[in-house]
Amino acid sequence: MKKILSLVLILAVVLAMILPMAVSADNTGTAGVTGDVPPTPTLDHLSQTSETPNTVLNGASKTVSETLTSTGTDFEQGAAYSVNIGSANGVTVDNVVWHTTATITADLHIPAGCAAGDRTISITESGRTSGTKTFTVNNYISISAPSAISLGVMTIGVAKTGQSGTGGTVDANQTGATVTAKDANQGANTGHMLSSGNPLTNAFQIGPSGGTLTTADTGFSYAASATSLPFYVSQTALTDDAAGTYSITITFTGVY
Amino acid sequence: MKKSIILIIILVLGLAVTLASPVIAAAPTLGGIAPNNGTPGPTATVDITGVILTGTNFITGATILVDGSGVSATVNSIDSPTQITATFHLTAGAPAGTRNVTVHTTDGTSGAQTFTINSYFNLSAPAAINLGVMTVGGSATGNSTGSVSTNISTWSVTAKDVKATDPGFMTKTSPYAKLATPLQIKNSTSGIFANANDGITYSSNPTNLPFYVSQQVATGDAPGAYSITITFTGVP
Repeated sequence: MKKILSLVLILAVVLAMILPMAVSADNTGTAGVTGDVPPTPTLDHLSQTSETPNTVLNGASKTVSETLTSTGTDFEQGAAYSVNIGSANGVTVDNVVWHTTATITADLHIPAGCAAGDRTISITESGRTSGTKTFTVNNYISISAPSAISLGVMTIGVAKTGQSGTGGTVDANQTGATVTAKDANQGANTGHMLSSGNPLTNAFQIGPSGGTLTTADTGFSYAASATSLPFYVSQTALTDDAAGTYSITITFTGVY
Repeated sequence: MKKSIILIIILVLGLAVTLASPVIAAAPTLGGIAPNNGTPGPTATVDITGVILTGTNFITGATILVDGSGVSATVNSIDSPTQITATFHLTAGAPAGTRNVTVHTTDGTSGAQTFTINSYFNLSAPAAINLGVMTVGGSATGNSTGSVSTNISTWSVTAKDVKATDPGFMTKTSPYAKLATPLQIKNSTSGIFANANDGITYSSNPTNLPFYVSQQVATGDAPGAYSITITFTGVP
């Protein structure tokens, strides 16, 4: 009994020594790290699938910019997006904006002279790229016609020649485009200068140079891909031709 | 009768001697302090009120003396010659350990009893990091900072992923998957990344716990929301 009491006393002393040394401890904590791996986006639709790069007004060209709306699936908010253009050939893109999980917009810029043809459009979302859709840069050709020619008073029996003070020009986005020139009047007396509907006897002669003239009813073609349009004419008035003021209009047409 | 007279004389003399002798007041003794320990705060003084000191010879004007740093005591009341009620003031961050406490009166100073400043160790883990939408084929990075406040003199902190399945890897559910490469963690901008399952150890006695992560995403990783929990453990 005495030993038991002694042990209890010792235990009490030990506890009394230990308990005051209690440690207030909050020595663990956790930090969560989260992140999303994006799915591969799909590209279903482009709001616009083609555009003509240039509008030509009086020979001045401008860049065409279009806001392209892409619709698809799995466009996650917060992802890093880019719109890719295969074989860009001058087409650029910027201002890519996420709107919904199904809609992204971007601005396409199609500069003057941008080559005609198809481009593939795809969307990359944080490293994963969708399939492609086709965007077409349309062909275009724009012509600035040669300046008007006045032959003045023509001498009977003598060929009167002239040329445009300012040759015409061609702006096209593809090689091989051609320009033809012929009488705009394809009805009666085509190819002849007229005065109140009455023609001169001889056909009007036109050509890209002074030495290569042909009748205006059949006209001529400039060399393929020509960018300048020199224009020469010749007219011979005969004795039987009535006096008066004659004119003819030549139409220049681009073909691609 | 004669004996009685003699006895009376002796008693009277004795009383006279007693009345003539000076009173010698006794110094205080200190037998116990309750409670005899307290835990300081990390930023503000902690007052422990209602501390009872028991002993003897406590008189008006008694004061309490505490040696060492971080603790002082004020007497609230001297309840009796055997009890004082006091308040112990523990300054912020008072170093852990024992202090000797004595009671002082004009009659002397008591022997000492101990009062213990408890250890505390508070670890605040770095804030959660959201890497957002991670780029496939690239590495997503992020960082945050935790902290430690303690009154002990030596400690260290480790950080690692301790989960049983695929330790070190960010995982997702429904369906379960893990990323191909383990999360990389380090504790400074110039440090070297380690796999999260291997973990990192902060230099000795860190009070700030900068935490940097980097996760590489491979082409073959399945899409989805991934997560991992890094456990920070302080080792006093």
